[in-house]
Amino acid sequence: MSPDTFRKSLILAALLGVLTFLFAQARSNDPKMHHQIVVNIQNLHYQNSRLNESVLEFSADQFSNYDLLTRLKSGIREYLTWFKSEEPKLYGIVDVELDAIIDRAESNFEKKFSLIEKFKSHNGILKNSLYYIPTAVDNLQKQSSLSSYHQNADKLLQEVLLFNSRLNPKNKELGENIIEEFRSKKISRLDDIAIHAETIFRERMLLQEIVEDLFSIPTKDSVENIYQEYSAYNNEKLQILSVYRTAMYTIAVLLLFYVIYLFYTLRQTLLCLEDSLYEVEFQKNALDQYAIVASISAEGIVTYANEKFTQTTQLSKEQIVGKSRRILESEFHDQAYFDHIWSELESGKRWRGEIKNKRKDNTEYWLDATVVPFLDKKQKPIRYVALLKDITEKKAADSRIYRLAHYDALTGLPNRAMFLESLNTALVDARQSKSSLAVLFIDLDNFKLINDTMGHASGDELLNVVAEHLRSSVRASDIVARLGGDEFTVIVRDVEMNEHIENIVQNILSITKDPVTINQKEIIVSSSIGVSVFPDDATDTDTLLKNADIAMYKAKSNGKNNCCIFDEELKAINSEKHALENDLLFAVRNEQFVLHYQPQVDVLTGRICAVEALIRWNHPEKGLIQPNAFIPMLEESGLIIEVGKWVLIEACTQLAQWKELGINLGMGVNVSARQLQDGHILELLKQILDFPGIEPSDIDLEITETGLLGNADELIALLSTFKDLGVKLSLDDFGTGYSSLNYLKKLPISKLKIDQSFVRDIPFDAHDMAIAKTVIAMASSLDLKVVAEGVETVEQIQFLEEHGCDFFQGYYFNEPVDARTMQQLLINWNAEQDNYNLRYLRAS
Amino acid sequence: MKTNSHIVWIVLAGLCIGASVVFVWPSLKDNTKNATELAAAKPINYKASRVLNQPIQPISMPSKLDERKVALGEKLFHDNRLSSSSSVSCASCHVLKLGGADQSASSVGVNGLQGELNSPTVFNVALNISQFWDGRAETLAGQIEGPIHNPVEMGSSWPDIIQKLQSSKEYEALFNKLYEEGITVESIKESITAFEQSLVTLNSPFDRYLLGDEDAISENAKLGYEKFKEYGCVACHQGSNVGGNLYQKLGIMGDYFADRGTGIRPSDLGRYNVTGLEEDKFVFKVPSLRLASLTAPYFHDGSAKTLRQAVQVMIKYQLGRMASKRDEDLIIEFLESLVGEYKGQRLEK
Repeated sequence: MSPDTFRKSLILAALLGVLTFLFAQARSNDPKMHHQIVVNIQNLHYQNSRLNESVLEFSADQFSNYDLLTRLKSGIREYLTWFKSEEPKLYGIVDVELDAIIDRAESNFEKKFSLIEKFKSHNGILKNSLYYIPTAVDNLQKQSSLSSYHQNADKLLQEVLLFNSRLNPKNKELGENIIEEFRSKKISRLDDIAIHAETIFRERMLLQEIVEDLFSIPTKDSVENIYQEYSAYNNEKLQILSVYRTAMYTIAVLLLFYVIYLFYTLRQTLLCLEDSLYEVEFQKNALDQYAIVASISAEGIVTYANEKFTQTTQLSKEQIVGKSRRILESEFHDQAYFDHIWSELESGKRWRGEIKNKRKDNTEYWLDATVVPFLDKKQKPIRYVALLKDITEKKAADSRIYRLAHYDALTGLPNRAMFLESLNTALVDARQSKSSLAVLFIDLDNFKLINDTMGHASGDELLNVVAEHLRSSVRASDIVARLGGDEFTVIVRDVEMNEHIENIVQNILSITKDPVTINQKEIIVSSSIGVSVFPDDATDTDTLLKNADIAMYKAKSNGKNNCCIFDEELKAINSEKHALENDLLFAVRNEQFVLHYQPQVDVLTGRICAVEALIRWNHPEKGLIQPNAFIPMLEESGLIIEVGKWVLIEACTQLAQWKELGINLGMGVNVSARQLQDGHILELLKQILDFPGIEPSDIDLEITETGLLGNADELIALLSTFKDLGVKLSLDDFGTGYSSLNYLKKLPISKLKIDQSFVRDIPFDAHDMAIAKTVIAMASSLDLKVVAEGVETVEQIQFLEEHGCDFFQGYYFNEPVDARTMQQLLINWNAEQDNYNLRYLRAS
Repeated sequence: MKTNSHIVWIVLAGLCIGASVVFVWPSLKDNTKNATELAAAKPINYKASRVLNQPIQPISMPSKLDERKVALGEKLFHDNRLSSSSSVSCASCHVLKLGGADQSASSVGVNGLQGELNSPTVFNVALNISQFWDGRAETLAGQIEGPIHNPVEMGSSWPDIIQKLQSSKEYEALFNKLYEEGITVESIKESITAFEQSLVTLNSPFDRYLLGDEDAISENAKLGYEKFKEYGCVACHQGSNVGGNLYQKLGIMGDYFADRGTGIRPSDLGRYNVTGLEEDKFVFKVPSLRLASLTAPYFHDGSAKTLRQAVQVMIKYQLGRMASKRDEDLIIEFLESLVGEYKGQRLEK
């Protein structure tokens, strides 16, 4: 019982107790008993009066009896005894005063009774003599011998009777004189009369005294005293009673209010309870909708399971409720797992975890379980509630996500992230076991070409085959991963010596070199492999991988299908490269680049129709550096995008200045493949076309053949957009790449630039001359203009002109010069035009 | 908490109901008790009778008697176990068939011991003012104490009697039925008292005469009644019991004890033995004359062997007169007409 309820009960019990006490007290003054007492007092009074009357009656009576007196006497005694008895006292009349008054009354009555007895005795004697004396006188008068006494006898009789009725002493005196006379005669008949007459006088006097004594006893007062005392007592009781009644009423009202209060609070509580119940029901419904819920008793018996529970487990409620908690366990976890859960719960702790289980139909499911113990005051669980959530789908999704995040979708090999993770783990193991491991960086040779020429699907298929080959060529403990594109890596654990690596590498090389049939075509793929070894070459994952990469590039540059193991030399090159990269970054930030310009001369007019902008690095220490020393680095580091942008803007700004001076010419700007891939170039181009005086056709974007490899369709689309803007496009270094004619046909270019390597040996190398001649012919048939680069001699000019080349560029005309020099040249050139023509003609 | 508070409420409700029963039940019970006690005596036709103004009144059966207590009292009255030797009962000396007394001047008690006084009749004792010759017992219950403890009478004690009665299953059952407290001094006395109250001699010829039956008694008896009044006998012998309701000195008109010549014994002092008052010497309770014709011998000392002797002694010493033989005959015949019936049978010698 709560203290509050206990207190309420106590108050109620106390009020009831007081009420009962008051009721009992009020009962003590029983109206019936009061009536009985009053009636008995009245009876006492009445009987006392009757007693008195009877005594008086006897004085005048002739024949009567004392039965009434006897009855009255015993009646009075009975009443007095009753007053003194326990009966009225039972009803609360405990009054010492009243008892004393009753005692006094009793003693008075007893005195009276004894006088009445005396009265009766003497009355008997008196009556006897009174009855007899007339007869005695009569008898005397019948005797004539005594006639002299007749008159006196009559007189005596008269005096006796008068005295008896009037109690006059004179009568007695006269009578006694006659008695004396009769006595003196000594005659028996006279004596007889005298004795009785004497008796009458004596007894009558005595009787009178008795009656007077009797009436002087204050029995009437005694009874009245009883009545008064009782009345006083009763009044007092009535007053107390009225107090009790008032108190009773007050208590009853209090009780009533208290009950009303209790009822009110009860109602409030009930309403609150209803609300809470509704809320709980609502929440329960919500919970049932969301989660699987089960209750387990402290003894481990399942006491409740909701609909979702039965749905998920495919067990009916009968199969769950009332059963042992073991029904919740499953074969997918060992017994110790569940023992641990139950012991955790029994110690009062919440448990949260995942449980895998199997349905009747053998489908598996995962539950996310939270089991909460409800504790009593001693922190002992009284029941458990299990909230379960079916997370089978989430589990599946998780594992899918894990696969996506860690494995390559195409080949199923671990991806870069997974590779790095595995490498990390392998490094930790290697450190611990003080063993060494090797990282192999494998890159397929010419994969891009295969991809571009045979399509992506074939490329993907090839990658899959290569992946399979790689996997089969290493031990099971070694890890093969695909970093992306055609780059694969292998982690080889427990490498004991370099020969060991050599074996593996040769194995891989030989396998990958085998012809592969894809799309009914036989392809020969080769690969370049770079190797770096822990702990010799590097001790961290990044460096290991980077070194392997470097080694791979080295291998590739040594000729395809080769292998290179990272060494000190490579390390040095690498660090040089690193320094260059840093310098370049600095150069980009501090704009250490400058543009030089080389003119392109129209074959027909001899005029400079365009210039090509060529970048130079104005190194503060090393001076002017040629682009071939840093462009590859720019390409590799991605800085080429920023630098390319600068070149485009710088060149066009210069063009705008020249056009303002009235020099009309085109501007050739080299654009890197990465710039095209970046996608910002279109926007940049549009901005540049807004420059004053710049016509779209003035800009000639020069793209290298190798830069166009890759996503051809997208590139072609982009280049078409440039062409739509009116910008001209040239294919640079034509002949050095793959020179796919099919490809060339699709490109929206307007110019081809024959690489200087083909021009240099004209007219000595017949091969070069044939190539140059063929290229010019081909371009002509494709309606493309041709620019010859590296033109240095008249022979070359003559040969090229002869075969229909459109433009020349080279030292013969002018070396690349800075903007100021070029400007001077341009101004002078028109004046010297004839001079040129003259020279040209002279040469011819 | 729930069950606990339920219990509290049940207990409280129980207390309330209990209190109501305790307080209300006795008053209901009282009502029924009062109802049974109300019973009216047979009314008297005052016009047809000569009851009014007569010193002698007819006897009527007392009204408030419990028949079952009377029956139990009767059984106890005749039970020898009330005496120490279990040899005598109340009825041994108070022979109902012999006028409620015995025929000897003084009775024989336990172990054949002889008492000093003549045993008075047990009939109509309820009508007496008190019991014993000297009136030392104000009530019948008080009277019982006398013979029970008197060594020459029953010579017993209450513990003995109660023990004896408790050994009887019949008494146990009877008492338990009538008295909550079972066998106690009070319950024994009350049942014997009830029986004694029922011992009234009803329907005597003289009573019938008083109530209007002219032929109930002889002419002589009627004359005897007149003599009885004329001589003054009726001054003391009056009331329904013809005496028994007052005290009177023996020898008002002559020295009875001197004439008796046997000296004064303590019992001769009469009421003096009770009150110690000089004036009460030789004062005795006036005996009832209802069964006088059946209960010889007479007086406290049993000195009068016949009724005639008794009448003569009374007229001489109490009335100071002489009566003729004829008057004595008439009075005796009147006295004989006072004998009534018990259980429908007229009492006889």
